[in-house]
Amino acid sequence: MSRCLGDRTLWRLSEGEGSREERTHVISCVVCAGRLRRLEQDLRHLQSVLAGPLPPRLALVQARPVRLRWTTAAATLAAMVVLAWFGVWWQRPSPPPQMETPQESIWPLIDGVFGALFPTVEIVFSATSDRLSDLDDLQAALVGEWPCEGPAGFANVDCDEDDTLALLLGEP
Amino acid sequence: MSKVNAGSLEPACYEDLYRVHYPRVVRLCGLLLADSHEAEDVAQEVFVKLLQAAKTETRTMAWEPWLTRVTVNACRDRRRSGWWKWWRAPRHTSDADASSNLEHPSAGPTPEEEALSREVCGRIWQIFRELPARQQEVFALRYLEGWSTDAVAEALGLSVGSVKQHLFRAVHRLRAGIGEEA
Repeated sequence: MSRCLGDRTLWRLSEGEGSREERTHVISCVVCAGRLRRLEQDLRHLQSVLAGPLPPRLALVQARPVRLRWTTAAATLAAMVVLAWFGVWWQRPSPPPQMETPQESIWPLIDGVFGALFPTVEIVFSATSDRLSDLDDLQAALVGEWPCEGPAGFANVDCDEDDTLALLLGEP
Repeated sequence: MSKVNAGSLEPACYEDLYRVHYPRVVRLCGLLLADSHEAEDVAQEVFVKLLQAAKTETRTMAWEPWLTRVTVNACRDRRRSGWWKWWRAPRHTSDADASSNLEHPSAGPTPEEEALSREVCGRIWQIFRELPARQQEVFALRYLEGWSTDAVAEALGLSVGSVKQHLFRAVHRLRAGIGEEA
């Protein structure tokens, strides 16, 4: 065996395992012999330290809680932000969805329709009621005093030159 | 390993087991929990379980591996149940300083050597605590309790190959820690 041994093989040798070739290689190879010696030395060192008095809790306790506190704080903050956002979203008054546009488009049409149907009637009725009743009109017609400012239907009639009316009344 | 017929586990025998194994159990709990108070607490639990098991078990038992297995499981349960308390526990700096002073009396090495040694020791402990629980258990039983690989495998209910795998990884990481420090 010419190639140097891997770490796992060296560890197996330190455990008393390994093949004869591997052992022969360690004996013949200065590099591997040194590595095996260092491994065994490290193992003894580890055993002596870990078999000593119980450990001070310094390093880990100082390192971990800081990380945990940061993690906890970050998680709490994120949760609060999400909850706040959700609360705002939940309580936001729902906007009158798409109502103004139809109103704007419909009301002019309705106004147009009503405007086209009713305004003249109102004007006619209001005009006749303000000026003359039907009885006055009849009376005026019988005595031949039809007012020139009568209803719109007679507005074009020339009172002074109306022969038709004179014939109807039997006047020459 | 001490094999005792559990059915005949009399008070004297229980006391023998307690006297012989209690320090070892406390030590193992301390390794796995890194807290002396928790270690004593769990060790007490383990010996209560021993007493209960002795009343019910009728087979001939090898109590040493039984104790070890129960201890490892109890430590694992403790770590799971109280992990938050464990991480958030107040620091025992005074204990740490006292143990360091005992370990390195002032008459020995120079202050520089003492500081370096303390730093390396702290680093090794830190890496050990950062190992996965299974690697800690295997390493402790194999190298600190001096058990054979087969015995570790039997006590932990693992295959021998798995134990070797855990052992190698633990050693590799611990050595890497030493190398970083050097």
